[in-house]
Amino acid sequence: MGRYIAVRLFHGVIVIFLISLLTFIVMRMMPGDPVYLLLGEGQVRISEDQIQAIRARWGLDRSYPEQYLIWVGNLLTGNFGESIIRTGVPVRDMIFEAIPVTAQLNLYSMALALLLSVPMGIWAAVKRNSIVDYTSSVISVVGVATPNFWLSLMLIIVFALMLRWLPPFGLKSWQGFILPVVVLAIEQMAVFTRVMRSSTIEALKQDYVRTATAKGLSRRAVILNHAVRNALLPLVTVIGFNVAFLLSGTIVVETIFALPGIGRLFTDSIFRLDYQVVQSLVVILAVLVVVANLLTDLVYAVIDPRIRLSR
Amino acid sequence: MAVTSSQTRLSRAVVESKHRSELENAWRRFAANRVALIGLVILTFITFIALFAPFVAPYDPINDMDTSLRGCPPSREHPFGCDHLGRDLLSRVIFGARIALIVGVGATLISVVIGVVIGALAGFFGGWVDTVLSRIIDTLMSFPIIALLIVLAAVLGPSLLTTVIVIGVTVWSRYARVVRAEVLSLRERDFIIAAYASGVRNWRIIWRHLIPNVMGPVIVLASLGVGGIIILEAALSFLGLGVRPPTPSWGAILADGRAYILRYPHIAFFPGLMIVITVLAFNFVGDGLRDALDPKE
Repeated sequence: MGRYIAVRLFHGVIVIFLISLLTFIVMRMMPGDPVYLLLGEGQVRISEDQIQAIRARWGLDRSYPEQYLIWVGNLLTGNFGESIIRTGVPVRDMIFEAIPVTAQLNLYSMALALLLSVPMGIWAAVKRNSIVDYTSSVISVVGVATPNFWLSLMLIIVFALMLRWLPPFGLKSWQGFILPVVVLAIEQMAVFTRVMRSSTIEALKQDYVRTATAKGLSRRAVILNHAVRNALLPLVTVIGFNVAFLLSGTIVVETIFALPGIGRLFTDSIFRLDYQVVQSLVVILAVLVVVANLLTDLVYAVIDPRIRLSR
Repeated sequence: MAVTSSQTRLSRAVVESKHRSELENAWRRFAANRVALIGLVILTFITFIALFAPFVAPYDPINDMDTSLRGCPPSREHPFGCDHLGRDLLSRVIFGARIALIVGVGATLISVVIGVVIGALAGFFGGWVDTVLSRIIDTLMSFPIIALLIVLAAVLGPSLLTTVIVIGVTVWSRYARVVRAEVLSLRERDFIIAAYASGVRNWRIIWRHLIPNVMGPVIVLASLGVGGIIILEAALSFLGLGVRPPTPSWGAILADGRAYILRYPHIAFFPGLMIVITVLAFNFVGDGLRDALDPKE
C-alpha cells in the first residue's frame, strides 16, 4: 500500500510539472503584451525607460527559462507572486478573496444534488419501471443534454424577471446564491442519480443481499444496510473525479451570474494577460485534482475491504 | 497457386458474408430500439435543415436586418421572434445547426484520429512509451476541459476553424484510454501472435489487425461524444471565444440573449432548446449503437 501511494504521488508530481510547463508556454504564446494592457495602449505617452522599468519590476525582461524557474521557485516556497494588472496586489490575496464564493457554490450544490439524487436513485432501483424510475431517468437524460448556461438564462428569466423572487445577478444577499446553486445541482444530479440507480441495481443482485434476505431481515434493512452501503462506492468515485469539473461548471455559471469566484477570476485574468494569476490558478487546480484522485482511491480502499486486501 | 488464390477468395467471401449478417443483426437490434430510432429521425431532420439551410430558412441570417423589428416577439412572420438587430431568429437558428454539426462532427473526427493513434501506440509498444502517453492521457482527463479550451481559443484567436481544432485536440483522451485497454488485451490474442510469427511489420499489425478491431467501442464513444462537443462549442461561443459574430452559432445567439435578457428575454429560448434536442438525439443514437453493437449488456 505504501509503495502504491508513493508511485501515485510520483506520477502526480510529473503531471503537475507538465501542466505548469504547458501553462507557462501557452500563456507566453498569447497575443498581446501585459505591459501595454496595463498602460492602456496609446492613451498615455510613456518613455521606453519607464516601460523597461515596469518589465524589470515583474521580471518580464528576463529570458523565458529564467522566468519559468523563478516562478516555480517562488511557488515551491508558497509565494504566488503579484498580479501584473492589479498592480502589486499579491496573487494569493486575489485567490483567497475568490475561494469562499466558489467553495460555497460547489458545497451547496453538491449537497443539494446528493440529498435529492441518492434517495431518488435508490427508489428508482428498488421500484424499477415505476413512475419514480421513469422520472429519474428523464431527469438524468435531459439534465446531461442541457447546457448549464442556457438553464441559467431560463431560470433568470422565470424567477428573477417574471416572478421577481430572486436577484438575477450578483451577490448582494444570500438569495444571489440560490439560482447558481440550483443550476450546478441539476447538472450533478443528472449524473449522480444514474450512477446511484445502476449501482443499487447491481448491489441488489449480489449474494450477500440474498444472504441477508434469507437471514430474515426486513426488506428495508436489507436495502439500506446491505445494498445501499455497497452501492455508494461508485458514487464516491464519481464525486472524486468530479473535482476536476467543479471549475468547469463554475467558470460559466460565475460569468453568467456575475459572482466574484475562482472561475470568474480565471477568465478575467486570461483576457487581462495576468500571467501570474492564470499560472498560479492552473497549478493549484492541478494539485487539487491529483490529490482528489489519490484520496478517491484511498477512500475506496477504506470503504471496500475487498480492494484493501487484494493490494 | 490458383488453388490458394481461390481459397483465399472463398475465405474472404465467407468472412464478408458473416460480417454483413453481423451488421444486419446490429441494425435489427438498433431498429427495435424506439428511442434510438427517434434520435436517428431527429438527427436526419437536423442534418437536412443544416445542409439545405439557404432554402429552408425564410430570411438571410446575417443581412436581413429590419431595424423596425428589433427584438420583436414570436409572430406568424417570425415564429422564433427577432434578435436585438432585427434579424429573424428562426433563420439564425437554422443556420446555427450548420455550425453545431460542423464543429460536432469535425472535432469528433480529429479527436478520434488522435485518440486511436495514441491509444494504439501506448497499448502496442508498452514500456516507457506507454508510461509517457498514459501520463499525458491522465493529465488531459483530469483537467477541466473548458479551462483549457478558453486558454487555447484565446491564444489562437476565435474562429470556426480554431474552434474545431481546439476542441478536437483536447477531448481525445477518452478514446485513447479505451483503445489502449482494448489493444492491451488484443495483443495477446492468437491472430496477432500469428501475424508476428509470420514476420508482419509492427505498423502493419497496428493498422490492419489492431485498429479495425477496436473501432466498435470507438464508434459508440464517438456518437455519445458529439453531444458533449456541441455543448462545448456553444459554451465557447457563448463566452465570445468560439465562432465569431455575425456568424449564427447557437452559443453566440445565446450570448446575444444574455446581453439583452432584460429587454428581449425571448432571444435565448429557442437556440438553447435546439441544443438540448440535438444533444439528446445524439445521445439516444449513441445509446442505441452501444446496445446494438454490444449485445452482452
